[in-house]
Amino acid sequence: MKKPFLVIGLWVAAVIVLVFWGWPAFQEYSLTNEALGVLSSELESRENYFSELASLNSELQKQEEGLSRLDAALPDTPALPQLYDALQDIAASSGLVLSSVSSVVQEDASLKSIDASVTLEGPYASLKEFLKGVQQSSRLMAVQSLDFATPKEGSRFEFHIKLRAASY
Amino acid sequence: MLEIIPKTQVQPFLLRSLVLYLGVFFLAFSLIGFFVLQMLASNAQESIAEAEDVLRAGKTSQERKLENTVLGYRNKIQDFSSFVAGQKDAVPFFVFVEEVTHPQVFFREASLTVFENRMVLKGVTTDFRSLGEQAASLEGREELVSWKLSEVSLAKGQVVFTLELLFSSKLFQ
Repeated sequence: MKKPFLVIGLWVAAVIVLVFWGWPAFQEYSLTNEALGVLSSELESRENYFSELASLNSELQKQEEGLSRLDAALPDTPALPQLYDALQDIAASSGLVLSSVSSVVQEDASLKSIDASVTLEGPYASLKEFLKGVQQSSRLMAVQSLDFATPKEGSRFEFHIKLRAASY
Repeated sequence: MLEIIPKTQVQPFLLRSLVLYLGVFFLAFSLIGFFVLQMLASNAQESIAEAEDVLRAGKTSQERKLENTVLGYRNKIQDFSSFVAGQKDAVPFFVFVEEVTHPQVFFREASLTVFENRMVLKGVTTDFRSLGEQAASLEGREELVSWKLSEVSLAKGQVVFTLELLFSSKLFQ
């Protein structure tokens, strides 16, 4: 007599557990798992990003000489004394005398432009050497404009040159 | 043949046991499944909390330093490349002028604007013929986009003039 009720009771209890506990638990698990998937992919991209950066950094460290050249070409500050010193060195090695130099630093962008006005004195033949020296200088510089006139006396020209350098 | 005393119908023992054990199995499966799902959900919640902590914490000082170093050099390389791309060698302008200058012509003033590829020369010569020959030497030169002779005059027995040269970008290639 008792066995049929026991069987029905077992099946009813199983259905109740499945419908009222099992199914909501499954739905909660699915949602949590989905959220975990999204976060995991975010973490994975973050890890990939930093591992990529680390590998680029180790590649950069191998190019130490290139990096120091790059730092010299585009220094972190305008470094005007070093710029003027470089111009004086180039002028001297070209056979010219640096008679005046001044500059304006344009600070409106992350890469600052340094517009330098330079006056040089010496023979015309030295001018081309100076221009080559500027082009090959470790500090990045570009000649913007150049003016000169024949000297009234002797062969000592006065060259007025506008140059552009850059820094951060 | 008709039976006088009918036999009681007995359910097969196997079927009754099967239904009972299936019920027990189904209930056990439901309960175990529920607890397993609860446990999995709880583990997933823990992992979410850990992941959120990592993401909320942001970049560590070491990561920030690494990022600044690499991205700093990336920007520097880009800036360097664009600067070098815009850099022009001023020497070819003078090499060209030296090459085309007529023996009787003397340039007294020179003004070069590198980024415009433009050079203005003020010169003198002994006669108009040599000036004409100077002008003719500029005709058809592929280094020039255009040229203009202006302010030609005769002063103190000398021919004075201004020559404006507009150079081609090919000169720097």
